[in-house]
Amino acid sequence: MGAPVLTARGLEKVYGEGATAVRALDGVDFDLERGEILVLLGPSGSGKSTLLNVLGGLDAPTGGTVRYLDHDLSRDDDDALTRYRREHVGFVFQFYNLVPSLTARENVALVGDLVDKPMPPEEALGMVGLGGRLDHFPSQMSGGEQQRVAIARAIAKRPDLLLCDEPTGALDAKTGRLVLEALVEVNRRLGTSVAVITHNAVIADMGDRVVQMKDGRIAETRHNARRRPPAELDW
Amino acid sequence: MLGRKLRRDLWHMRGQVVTIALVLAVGVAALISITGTYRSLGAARDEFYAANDFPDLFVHLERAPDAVASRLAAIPGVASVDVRLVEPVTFLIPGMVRPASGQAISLPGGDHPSMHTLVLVRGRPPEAGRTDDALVLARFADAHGLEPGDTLTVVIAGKQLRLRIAGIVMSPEWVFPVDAAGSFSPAAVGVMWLPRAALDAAAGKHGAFDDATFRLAPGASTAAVIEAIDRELARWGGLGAHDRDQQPSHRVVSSELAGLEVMGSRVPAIFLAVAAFLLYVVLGRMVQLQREQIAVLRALGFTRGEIGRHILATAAVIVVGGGAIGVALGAWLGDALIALYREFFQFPGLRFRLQVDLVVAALAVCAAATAVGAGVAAWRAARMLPAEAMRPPAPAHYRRGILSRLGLARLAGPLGRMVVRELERRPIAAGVTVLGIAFAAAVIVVGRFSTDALDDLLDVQMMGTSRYDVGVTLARPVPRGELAWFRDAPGVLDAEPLRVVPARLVAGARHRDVPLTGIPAGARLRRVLDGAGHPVAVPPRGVMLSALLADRLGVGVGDVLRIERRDGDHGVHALEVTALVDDRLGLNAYVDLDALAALLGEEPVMSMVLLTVDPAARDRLIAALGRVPAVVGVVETAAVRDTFLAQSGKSMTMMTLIVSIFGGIIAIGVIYNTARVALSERARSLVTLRVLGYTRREVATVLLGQLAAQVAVAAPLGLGLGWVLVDAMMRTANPEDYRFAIVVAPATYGFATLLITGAALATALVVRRKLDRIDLIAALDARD
Repeated sequence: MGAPVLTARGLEKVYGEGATAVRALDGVDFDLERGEILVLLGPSGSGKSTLLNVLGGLDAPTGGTVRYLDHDLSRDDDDALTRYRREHVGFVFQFYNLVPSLTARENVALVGDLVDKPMPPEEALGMVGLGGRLDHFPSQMSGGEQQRVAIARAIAKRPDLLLCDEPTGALDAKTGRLVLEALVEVNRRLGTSVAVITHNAVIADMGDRVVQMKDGRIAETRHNARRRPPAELDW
Repeated sequence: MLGRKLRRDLWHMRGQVVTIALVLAVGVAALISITGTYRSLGAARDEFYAANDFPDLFVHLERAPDAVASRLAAIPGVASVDVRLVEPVTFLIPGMVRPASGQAISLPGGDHPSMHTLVLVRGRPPEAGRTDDALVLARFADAHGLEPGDTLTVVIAGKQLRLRIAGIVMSPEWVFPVDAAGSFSPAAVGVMWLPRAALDAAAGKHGAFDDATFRLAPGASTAAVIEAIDRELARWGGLGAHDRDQQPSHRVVSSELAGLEVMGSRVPAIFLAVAAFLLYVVLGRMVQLQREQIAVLRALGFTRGEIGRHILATAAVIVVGGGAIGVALGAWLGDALIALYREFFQFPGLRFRLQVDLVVAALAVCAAATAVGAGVAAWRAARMLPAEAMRPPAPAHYRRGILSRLGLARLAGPLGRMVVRELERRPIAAGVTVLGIAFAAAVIVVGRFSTDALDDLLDVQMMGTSRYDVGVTLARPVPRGELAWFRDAPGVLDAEPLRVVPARLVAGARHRDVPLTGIPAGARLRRVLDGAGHPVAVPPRGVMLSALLADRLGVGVGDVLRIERRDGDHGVHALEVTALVDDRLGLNAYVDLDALAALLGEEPVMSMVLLTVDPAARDRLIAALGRVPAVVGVVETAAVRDTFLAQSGKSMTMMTLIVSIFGGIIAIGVIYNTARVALSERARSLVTLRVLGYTRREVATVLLGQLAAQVAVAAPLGLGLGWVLVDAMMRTANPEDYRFAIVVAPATYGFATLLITGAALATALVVRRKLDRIDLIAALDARD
C-alpha cells in the first residue's frame, strides 16, 4: 500500500440550522490508501453515503478538509469538482443509474468522451464479464448485468478512485458476488483504489480495511489479514 | 391529507400549472373577446335598426304625386311605407375649400314631424310649424364642430337657405355616409332632415315625393314586392327598388362586419381548439410524472376512485383558474375592442356583451379536454400495480429506430445518441409536441394574415387600379370634349374620362345591379388588374365581367347579357360577355368607353374625370372644382386609403396584436411544459451524466437538443399549417366585396419563427437554470 490518495481531516457536514440541524458527518478523519479495497460499514443514517459523496466531489463539506493527493477539494467550486470527477473518480450506485437510451457499449463509451485515454468499451465490459452483451439496452439486462455495466462505465476512464454506494444492495447474493468479483478484478488489474459502502457485514471480509461508521463518526477501523475472495462470501 | 398533497403538488408544479392555465385562459379569452365583439356589433346593429325602423326596401324616383303612396301601401307584402323628399344639398361651411355636398331629407308627419327613424343625440326635435329647424347627422356635425343652436347655410335646388340646427341625430340609414363614388367620408358628406313643408318649399315639389321606404310584412317575398313597386313607379321615373343589400350605408356596415367575421368566428375557434389540444397533452404528461406517487398511494390503500378524483381535482383547479382568468381577460379585451369600434360604427347602445353561451362553450371545451387528458393518464396510473412503486424504476425500453439505423446516432456521439433515441422511443409523444409547437406557429400566421392581405389589397389592388390622385364625379354626363377644361385646370398633370352607367345585368332568372364601367382604350389612371396584379385590357367590344360576377350570374364568355339601364332613358340593351377577369375588389362589369357610347346610342360622354395632380397645386385645384356646378363629388385617392386604413387598420392592428400575444403564450405553454416534463422524466439520466463528470453545459445539450430538434421540425410545419388554416378560413369568407389573396408575407413567417424561437430560448434558459440547480445526491436516490 502506498501513500493515501484521499485524506479527510475533521470533516463535518451539517444539514439545516439551529435546533433542527442534522450532523451527518461529525469530525471524520479518514484516509484511502492507494490500491486498497476499503469497506465502509454502518447502519442507515451513520453518514457513510454522505462521506462517499463528499469524497467523490458530489457534495461539499461544511467543515474540515478533504484532499485528493495534494489538492484541496473542500475549496473547489462546482466546475473544479466536475473536473475532479471527470478525471479521477468512478462511481457505482445501488440503482446502477445507467442511461436507458444507450446500449451497454454506449453507456461505457459515454465516459470515453471525457478523458484522454479511455479504455475501449469492449475491454471494460470484458473485464466485468459482459463481453457478450455489448449491444443490449439496460432494459434487456438483469440487475446484476446492469450493475456490471455501471462498473465498466466507471472504470473505462481509468479512474484513480472507484466509489461504490451499496453496489449489491438491489441484487441477490449470487449476482451480488459477480459484481463484487468485478470490483476485485478491477482493483487487481488496474490498481484502482476502491471504496465500497455497504450495510452488509459479510462483504467487509473482501476488503483490505474496514471502517465502521456510527452517528457521523468513525467508530472503528480494522485491517483484514487476508482479503476473502467474493466467491467465498455468502449472505 | 390528499387535499394538502394537492396544494403542495400545485405549488411544486407552479410553473407548469401557470403556463397551462394561461394557455387555457388564452383560448377562452380569444373566443369571448373576439367572437363576443363580433356578435356585440351585430346585436347593436340589429337593435339600432329595429328601434329606428330601418326600412327593408328603398326606392328613388323622379317625382310622384302623394296619392301614389296609398297605392304603394296597398302592394301585398308591404307592411308600411314612408314617402319623402330626398334632395341634393350643398353645405356652405366656413373654412372648407370645397363645399360639402349631401342630402336633405324630409321628416314624415307634416306639421308634427315624426322622428321614429332617428336617434336624437343632442338638442331637440324641430318645433311644430317652424320651417327653419334642421336636424344634422352626428358624424357630419362632429366633423365640423356643429352644435344645436348654430346656424347653417345650405343650397337646395339653387336656393340658399339659412337654417338653425335644432338637434344632432343618428340614423340607421346613415351609419356610414358615403359619397357619390361610394367612399365613406364623414366630413365631406352631409345629411340633414327638415320638416316636409320646409323641403317642399325649397325643392319646389309640393304635393309630390321622390323617395320611398318600405317595411315588409313577415313572410313577404322581397323580389315580388320589388317587382310590384317598380311596376307602380315605372311611369313616375322609378330608379328601381332595392333591398338593404344595395343600401349604401348598410353595404359598408355589412362588409365591415363580414370582414370581421373571419377574424371573429374562425380564428378564436382555432385558438380554442389548439388550447384544448395542448391542455389534453400537457395534463396527461403531468399526471404521467406522478406515476410513482400514485402507486405509493395505491399501496397505502387509497382506492382508484379516490386517486382519480384527486387527479381530476388538480386538473379542475387549473381549469377553474385558467377559465376565470380567461373570462376576465376576455371581457376586458372585449371592452377594449368595442371601444375601438364604437368610434367607427357609432351604434347607439354599442357595448361589449359577455355572451353566456360563449363562456359556457369555451369552458366546456376546456373542461372536456382537461377531463380526457388528465382522466386517461390518471386511469393508466391508477391501473399500475402498487408494487411497482416499491421497486426501483425499470429502465425504459429503447431500441434502434430508423434514425439510428441511418447512422445519425453514430454521427452525433453519445449525447446526440441520447437525443435521437429519446425521440425514437416515443415518436407519438415527440410528434404531439411538434404538432403543439406547430399549432402555436400556425396561430401566429393566421393572426397576422389579415394584415398581410389588407396590405396586399391596398398596395397591389387599390393603388394599382386607381392610379389617379383625384376622382371628380359629375352631376350628369358631359361630352368628352370637356376633358380639355380639366386638363387646363390648375395643377392637373393628366386627365382621363370614365363613364359609369347604373344598370341591372340580367341573365335568365338571375340578375345583379352592377354599374357598367366605361374605360377608355389604353387607360392609364383607372386600370383593371387580375388576381396576380397584372393589368388586363378591356376588350374593344362586349363586356368583361369579374369572374365572381359571371359565376353569380351563371354566365361565361360568349353568353349575352340583358342590360337594363337604371338612369337616363331606362333603355334595355344586349351585351355579349367577351372576357372574364379574376379581379379582387367588388363585382364589376367593364366596357370599352367608345363601345359603351355606341351601345347606348349616345355621343361619347363621361360621368367622371380622373386626374393626376401636382401636390403643390392641390388646394387651388380643389377650390377651382368647387366653383363648378357640374361637379358633385371630389374624391382624393390618398384620403380613401387613409380612411380605409383608419377604418380597418386600427382594429386589425389590435386584433393582430392580441393574436400574436396569444400565439406567443401558447408557444411558451407548449414548449415550457414539454421541456419541464422531459426534465422530470430524465432527471436520473441527466444527473448520472453530471456524476460521470459531464459539465452542466454538456448535460443541458441533451435536454435542449431534444427541444431544439422538435422546434426545428415544428417551425416549418407550423408555417405550412398556418397557410392551410388561412386558406381554409378564406374559403368560407364572403368574397363579394374583397377577395383577399392568400398572401402571407415573408415577414409574417419570419415573425412567427422568431416568436417560436424566442419562446423556445426563454424556456431553454429557465430549464437550464432548473437543470443547474438539480440536487445531484437527491436525484441519485442516494440513501444512508
